[in-house]
Amino acid sequence: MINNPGLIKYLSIFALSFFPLPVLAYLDPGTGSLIIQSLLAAIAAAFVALNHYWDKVKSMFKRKQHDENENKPE
Amino acid sequence: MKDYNVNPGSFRDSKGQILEYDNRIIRLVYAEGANDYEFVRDTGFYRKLINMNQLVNVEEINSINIQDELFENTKYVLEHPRLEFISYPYEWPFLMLQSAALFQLDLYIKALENGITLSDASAFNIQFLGPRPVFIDHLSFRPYKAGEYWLAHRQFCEQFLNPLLFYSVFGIPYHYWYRGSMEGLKTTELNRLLPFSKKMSPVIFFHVTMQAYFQNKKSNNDKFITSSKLPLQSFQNMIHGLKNQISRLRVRNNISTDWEFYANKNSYSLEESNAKHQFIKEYVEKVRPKMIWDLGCNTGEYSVTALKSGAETAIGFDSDHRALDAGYERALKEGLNFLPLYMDITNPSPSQGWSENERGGLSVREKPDGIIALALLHHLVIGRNIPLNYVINWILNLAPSGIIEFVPKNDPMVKQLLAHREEIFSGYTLENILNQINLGSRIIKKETITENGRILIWYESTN
Repeated sequence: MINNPGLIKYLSIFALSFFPLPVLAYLDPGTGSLIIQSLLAAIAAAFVALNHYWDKVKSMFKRKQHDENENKPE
Repeated sequence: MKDYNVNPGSFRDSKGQILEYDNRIIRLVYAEGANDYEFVRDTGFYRKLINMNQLVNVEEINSINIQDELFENTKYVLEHPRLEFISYPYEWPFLMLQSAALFQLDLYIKALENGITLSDASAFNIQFLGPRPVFIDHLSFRPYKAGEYWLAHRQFCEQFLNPLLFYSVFGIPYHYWYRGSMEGLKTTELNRLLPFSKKMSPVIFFHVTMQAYFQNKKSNNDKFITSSKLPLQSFQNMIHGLKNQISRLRVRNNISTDWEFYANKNSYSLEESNAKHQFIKEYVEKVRPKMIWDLGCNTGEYSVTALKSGAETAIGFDSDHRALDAGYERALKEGLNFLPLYMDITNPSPSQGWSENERGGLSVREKPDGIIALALLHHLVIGRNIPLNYVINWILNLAPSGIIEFVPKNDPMVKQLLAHREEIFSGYTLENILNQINLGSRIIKKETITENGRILIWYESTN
């Protein structure tokens, strides 16, 4: 699992801190608002990572099925 | 020579400025704002909103005859139509603030679909044309950058969500608090009040409780802010979630906002109310006032008659929140150019904010052409101890003509006001009212509309 470079990339997002925001605000956005949105962002990133991982599993499974089907008719 | 006025409410934005010049509304777009302006203009987004009547019109004008240091940095000069009347969120009844909130969220939805976002979410960027919200700040729009946060989220909560929640949960109008702070209700303060059961709603938990929690943690909380990008989908989900929640909010204990229900509760006889309608119709058809102020408008029943008789705009003022909401619903349903606003006439909105003129008080706003003040005098004179001549003079100075109703002391409504009061109102007589009016005005018509002596007085200024 840890060998999956995509997952490592997404997991590392959690570790990243002290980075500037994507865009600087015209107003004071408020720390509370930024933190809850950054939680949302992290959750979204985690879902992307999980999906990515799940797709890999599925594709492995599919390929296997596909291979079996390919072999059948002959 | 300086022949323009900088609009005192537009100085916070470094991207531009609003001027009033030659009775025209001019917006300067400075170099700092030019790129964003061009981007949004070139997507056709301004036009799209203008065509849907959701944004005030904008025209680029080539030159303007002003030589001033203000113009050195100016890249574009824009012109907007002048709005009939400016109102502020602390004057909007619940349903109007709710409409404005949903409108603001809809703008975000439309903007994001076009690769645009807004740099703020200020309720002061919304005005009402009749009951319909319209956006007035073109420079709030700017390109959306993939992954960016909703940076105006805090402001949206303070100016829209929190006041609506506050009224809805506690049944206490937000107007006094909102007017005091001018920027809405702080999330940390609302959170301190909310009962646990209310915090269980996912939207409230996220937008109020969690936001307040992280806002409160004083030291080092910046480290919780990750560099994760907020996917557009999550941004949109936040907006949709809020929209859903806000559209479901209702005022607690609000029996009905149905104007008919409300109108029927009045103690008027049908005959009396018909006489009033007829009198107003005659006055409006004769005088043709463009803008009417209806002082003590209740649900705006008589404003509607004024509008149907030819007045273009009616602004209603009342301190009864439920009646205002009912009036707003009706205006919306029937497409009437009626704006019902919360106002305590003995304490109208003051000029306030920076330099005490950022948000204009009632007395510095667009003046009406005509007044309707029905069943109002006794509330102010007997209910609130304002001397009769003060009240009459205040009304007479608002507009060149109007209608005032006198309700005599033997009327049940006045008796109710006097029930536990010392009778110190010997000056409250028809004669004194007429004398006071005759000082600077003349009486065009006078009509007794009830047996006990309710009288309508149509006056006109002689100045």
